[in-house]
Amino acid sequence: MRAAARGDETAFARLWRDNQPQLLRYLRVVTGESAEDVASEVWLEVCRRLGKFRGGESEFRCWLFTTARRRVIDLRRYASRHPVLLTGDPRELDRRAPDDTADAALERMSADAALDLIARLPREQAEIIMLRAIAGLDATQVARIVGKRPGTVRVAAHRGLRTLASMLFAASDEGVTR
Amino acid sequence: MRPRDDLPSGMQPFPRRTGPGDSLLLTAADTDRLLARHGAHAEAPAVQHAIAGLLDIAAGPPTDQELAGEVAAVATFVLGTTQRATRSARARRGRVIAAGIAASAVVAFSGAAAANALPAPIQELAHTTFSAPAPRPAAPQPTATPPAGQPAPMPGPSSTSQHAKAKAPATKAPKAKAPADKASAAKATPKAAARAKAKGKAGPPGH
Repeated sequence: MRAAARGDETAFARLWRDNQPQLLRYLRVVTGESAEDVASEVWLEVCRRLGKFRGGESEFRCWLFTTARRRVIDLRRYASRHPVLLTGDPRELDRRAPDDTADAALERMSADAALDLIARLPREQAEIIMLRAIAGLDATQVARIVGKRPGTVRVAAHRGLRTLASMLFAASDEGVTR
Repeated sequence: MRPRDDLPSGMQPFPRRTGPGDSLLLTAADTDRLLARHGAHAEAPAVQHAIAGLLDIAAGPPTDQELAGEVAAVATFVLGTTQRATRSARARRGRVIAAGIAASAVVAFSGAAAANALPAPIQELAHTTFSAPAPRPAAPQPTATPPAGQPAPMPGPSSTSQHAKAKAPATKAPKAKAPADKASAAKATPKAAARAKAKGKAGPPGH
């Protein structure tokens, strides 16, 4: 962490590899299609301010997701002022690259299905579950990020898991996942 | 409608609900355990195992696509670091130059103060501040001998200033010198001499 803050390229690469997947998944659940763009902006800001960062990896992750959340809020504000009309089929626009292997597609499909299920929760519950279970932050850190009390975060996470369980039951009852 | 085998791989199939809400029972400890991704207890309801499986899949190993931007991210970081280093080097150079200028100014001032070469008020200040030599007493006023055929200069403002000079502290000395300077300037050019002459005539009232 200290090496990355001093400008060590290899240390930064490791930091990026350790955190980028979780960041992308969190952003996928809370922003959907814009996840990669927002993640790029988040890393750009991290690059700018990493030299002044003091703390360990846990503090860094907390800072990273705080930055990401701020970007998400900015994006929502922007989106509410500038609604976008899609002119094509979003599935077609988001089609996979031709070099994807079938295994990789299957692997991603599994993770995608799980993330899609979490994304169907109420926004706050989905966000808290992602920050706790995927980003690996504790209730106090999540509370700091979302600006709520740890108790509120625990209750929201509990409700989120119960809702997730209900959704799984519903899927089981209907025999479908979506 | 999609078939059952569309369930994410790794997710455990679980039995249908047997009692109202029984399987959905989650204690705070269960919630913490699941969110910390420690899995469900062996004897926990099937739904907890399903949630644990779902969270494991969602937090699964990174895919190639997720890590595809590494090169670009590292390049951005290197660029940012280089720019930051350049900026800080420039700022450091600026600080060094400013410190050099300040040090030179201090040395020059101290030297001038030690050589008693500062204007009297500043020398006085230096004397009281860091015991530089006291300012020299003002040099006595040279007595100007009037040129032949001309009346002696009338006691006017210059005589009062002489008096003041005698009383005033040394800091007033430069002001008292002014008439003598004027006289020497008058000597230098004929025009100025004529002006000084006219002034001398018009000087005291009643003459």
